Amino acid sequence: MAATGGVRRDRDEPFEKISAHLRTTRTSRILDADVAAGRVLGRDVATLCDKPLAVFVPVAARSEFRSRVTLLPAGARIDQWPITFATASGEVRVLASVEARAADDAANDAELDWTLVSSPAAEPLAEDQAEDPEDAFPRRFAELAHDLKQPLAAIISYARGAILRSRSGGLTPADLEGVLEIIVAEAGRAAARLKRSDNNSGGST
Amino acid sequence: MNPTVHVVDDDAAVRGGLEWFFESAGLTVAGYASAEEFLERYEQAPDAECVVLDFSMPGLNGIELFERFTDNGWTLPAIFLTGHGTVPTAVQALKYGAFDFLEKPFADEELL
Repeated sequence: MAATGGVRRDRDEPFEKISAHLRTTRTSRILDADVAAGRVLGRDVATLCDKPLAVFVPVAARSEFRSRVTLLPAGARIDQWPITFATASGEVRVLASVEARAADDAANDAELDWTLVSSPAAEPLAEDQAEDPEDAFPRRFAELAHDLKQPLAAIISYARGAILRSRSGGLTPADLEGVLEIIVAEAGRAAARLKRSDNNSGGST
Repeated sequence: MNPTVHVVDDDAAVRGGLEWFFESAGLTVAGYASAEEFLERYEQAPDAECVVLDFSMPGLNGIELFERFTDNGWTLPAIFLTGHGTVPTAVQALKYGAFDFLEKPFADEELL
């Protein structure tokens, strides 16, 4: 079983993925930490928001990450958000603290799944502590909101651009068709994200 | 000559939408998928009039990009975009010299 601080999960249960961008390797390093600047430097980038820093642990390199995390003082709170975490090569958005593990332990370039935990700074992971639903809901809602903002922003920009071109007589039928195809695709992207959220919550809508 | 707006966002759809919108408004646009890509271009030809950049990107993020600018003594009007619209985030962006800070999704007219 993999410990996630505030979340109990079975080894085979996939972790919740915060970002589709994250890929990392077991040579990941957190190189340095500067609490005053709210920054951890290394090879990957994750953005943390709004909670005390706790544990940042990929299972494949747990001891290393534990030792690196202790660069942060116990109980430290970071007031400058977002802070930048560095591990390997991707983007992770985190509301509290994070754990990761290699999805494929045999792979040299393993994709890591990340999840949030609510442990206070520098405290040991608590494997039997379930995540408080009151913490989980706002976190998941924030993730959903963020993921929906991207396609919505794209849809608005393409639609506004088309309106500007239409008013100036510069919108060709081919342009319009292309924009509409993009808008449909982005609406589909948002719908897929909503469906995934609905499925994860056990909803039936 | 129209001013060039540089758009830096790792999300291809958001970046493409902004490029399309700015071009529709008669501006010249250059898009970049990462801060590193933009920085490389800027170091070779520092002629950008304005940069619109995502706050949080894989690799170098928006703040780190501006730290590089500050370190090199460069000044460039920047508008930060973010999917996480929090007051501390906005304060941090403005502290680092952002001209404005907009939360996605935004009204594109605000950018013009």
